Amino acid sequence: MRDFYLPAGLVIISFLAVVALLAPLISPYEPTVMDNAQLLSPPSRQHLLGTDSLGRDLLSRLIWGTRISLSIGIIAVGISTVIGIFLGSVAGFYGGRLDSLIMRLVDIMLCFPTFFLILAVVSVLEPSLYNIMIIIGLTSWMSAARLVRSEILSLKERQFIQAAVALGASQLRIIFRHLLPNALAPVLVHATLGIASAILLESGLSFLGLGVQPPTPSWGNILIEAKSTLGVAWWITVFPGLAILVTILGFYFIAEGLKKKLG
Amino acid sequence: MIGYIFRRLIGAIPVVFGITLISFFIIRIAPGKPTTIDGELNPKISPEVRQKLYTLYGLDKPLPIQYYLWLKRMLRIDFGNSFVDGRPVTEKILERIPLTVGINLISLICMFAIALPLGICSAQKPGGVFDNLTTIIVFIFFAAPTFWIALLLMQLICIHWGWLPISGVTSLDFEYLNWWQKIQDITRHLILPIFVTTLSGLAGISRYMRSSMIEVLNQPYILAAKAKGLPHKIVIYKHALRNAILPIVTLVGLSIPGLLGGSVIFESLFALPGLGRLFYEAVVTRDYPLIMAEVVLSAVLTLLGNLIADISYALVDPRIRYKK
Amino acid sequence: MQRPLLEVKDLAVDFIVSGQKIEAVKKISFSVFAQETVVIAGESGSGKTVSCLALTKLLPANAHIRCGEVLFRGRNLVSFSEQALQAIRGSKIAYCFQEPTSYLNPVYTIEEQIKEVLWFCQHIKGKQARNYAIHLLEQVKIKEPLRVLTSYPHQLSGGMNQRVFLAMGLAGRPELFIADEPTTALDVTIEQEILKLLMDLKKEYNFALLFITHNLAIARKIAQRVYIMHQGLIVEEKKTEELFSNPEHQHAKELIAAYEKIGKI
Repeated sequence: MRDFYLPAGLVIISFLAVVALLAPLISPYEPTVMDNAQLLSPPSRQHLLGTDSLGRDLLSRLIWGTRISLSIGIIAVGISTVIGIFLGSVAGFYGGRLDSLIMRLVDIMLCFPTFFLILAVVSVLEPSLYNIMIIIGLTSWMSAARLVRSEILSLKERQFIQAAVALGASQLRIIFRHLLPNALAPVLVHATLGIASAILLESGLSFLGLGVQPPTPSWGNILIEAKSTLGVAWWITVFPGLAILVTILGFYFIAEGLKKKLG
Repeated sequence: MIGYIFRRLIGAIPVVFGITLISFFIIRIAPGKPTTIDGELNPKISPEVRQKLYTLYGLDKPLPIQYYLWLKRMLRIDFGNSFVDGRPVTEKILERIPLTVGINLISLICMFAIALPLGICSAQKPGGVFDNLTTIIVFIFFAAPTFWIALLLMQLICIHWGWLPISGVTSLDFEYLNWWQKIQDITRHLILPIFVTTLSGLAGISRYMRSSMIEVLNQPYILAAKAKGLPHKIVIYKHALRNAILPIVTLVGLSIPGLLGGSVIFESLFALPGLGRLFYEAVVTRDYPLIMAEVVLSAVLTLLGNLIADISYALVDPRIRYKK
Repeated sequence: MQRPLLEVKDLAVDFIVSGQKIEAVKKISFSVFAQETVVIAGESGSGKTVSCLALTKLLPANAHIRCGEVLFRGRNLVSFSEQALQAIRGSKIAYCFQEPTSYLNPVYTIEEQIKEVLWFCQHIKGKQARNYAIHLLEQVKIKEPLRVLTSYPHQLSGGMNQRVFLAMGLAGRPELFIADEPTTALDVTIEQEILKLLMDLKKEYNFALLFITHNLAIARKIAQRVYIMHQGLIVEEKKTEELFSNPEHQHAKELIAAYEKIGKI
């Protein structure tokens, strides 16, 4: 049970990564091509996972959606992790006023329900693919900052850092050469979980019609149609949700495995 | 203790200030002024009305002044009028509060009522059959988007079996029902939303309870309680549980933002006229006074929830209560 | 000859740590007679604490008794069910531990924690239990029993909490008191007070005392017999005076040499 997580997670995610990379090659149809003769047709040999109300092939849309969802997750977490590492290490290293200022900002940002904050920003910006990535990134860096700060604070007390300070190493050097590499393991676990929640967040946004805009397929916006086809086309509800479920499980497994491996 | 509460309250003031500052700048600094977008998108607003808004919000003045004016009005709980129908925002929000708060409160109670026993049972034998089974289920609930589970349940329960109504709070013939039938009708409409909201928080809380309980069971005072000859039940439910449940108190505060965020999705999905749906509609119609009011309100509610949770934690934990 | 109160025969305890078996206690035998004071001495990690917890099966989940017998008044505790053991713990065999404050439940008052022993071991409750608790606190020389009774553990000093622990032990009227390094975490002056208190109580209540320590000075002061434990084995058993005048095992010699060195400073 213990050693099952990391390999299982890696298998799932590498499979999805390959699917995302090879989307143009492996998807049986163009994701936006409509086929008027095949509206809402159930899974068949021709359309493995069926079609939607515009006659688009669901499998192809899911495959292209993998690309969108994974890249949103990874880029959004990239942004939030960079911001989190920067603010967290500055706060942890310099302490004092700068520290309390940054931590106050974290407190304030954490008061906003993420969904409300993101939707408010979406209401002033256009909900394009890039905007979604940036907005999710800008509104989810707080926990990373807290984590990095506490790691740095505890590392600062350790002897090898004290030795580096005593040897007169420059502050930047201490941060980048000594502190950050040692704080990396928990940040990695945190980022893996972050990707999962970013993908969940994106699917929710897109499901409300305020995320990735059609015709670009994302798992969330495919599910919009599930609302209007309830009881008519079960495949439109089931498959995109399963795709999200499996992806999130994959990232959770990796995080869980890493946690055990890295102590 | 009173000193602690006082310090926490004082500490919350700059946070409230920061909340308003961020809310304000999100809306005002964004490209495209609210009034212009609104005028273009909403033909109902005539140039005169727009001019009125302009002066009402002081949009011709520099940003700091705008912020100051907005803050001043907000302190009087005046969030302005909705761009869409011209009604006061405060009024629109107030009439939506009972439903959202009601659903979330009931869900919160259900969540804890189910998650705590689950966590406690898992912790008794970590790695045992029950624990492994709940771990798997919890992982799946963690990973599945709850609105998807809601869709599946709607498909199965409301459409396939036809047991429950699919959306809204009341049926069409609601007015002709007697009071008992009315209660039944509302209950039938709200079962699924409450169930789904409960599911959304179940996994997190039960995991938290589990790890808290496991940690407590390894504490020396549990060994001592056993060494005193106390029965197993007393050791678990008196000595361990009381300690393990203390940090759970703060979870109530921490789950507020998630619940409010979930309300936006669930209320849209189930067509429930609550705060979440109001916010969603405001975002779609770019009703900025309403958006700002709800963003500030949700953040302040979260802050309040956390404050209350921290203070109640301090009240129930004698180590903090009697700190010298 | 009289039978011992407690007789341990070939007791062995294994731990499973990350899939590997560790033999913490390897077939040890020792005994304690009624009203006797016995010390088990050895450095930390020698298996003293584990052996004592094993006597009433208080071991952590990853440890188990591989073989051996624990005869208490001739009955083998190893074969006892959990429920049967509950009637032994507290009422027949009481424990006190190294860091008293962390062994007291932080969220209950001292009164609550003493009264539950009175209820489960002697079926005393209510006003009577409260009065008994005050009496016990007076017995362990606590000057303000009423204040201590309503206090939480974190409000009291370590020495005070150890007294509370002794009072809690007395509440069950045990025949055997097992004290696991009860003074190690305390100041030297308080250590002496607690030791004296423990010996006074022993005289008054007539219990046998099994005392565990790494400190041979204490052993010399209180013990009638001493067992030296080393790497999970009992390597020497002697009357106290005999041990100090004529240690046999290499490890016993080392311990005594170390003790004498400290004595000289």
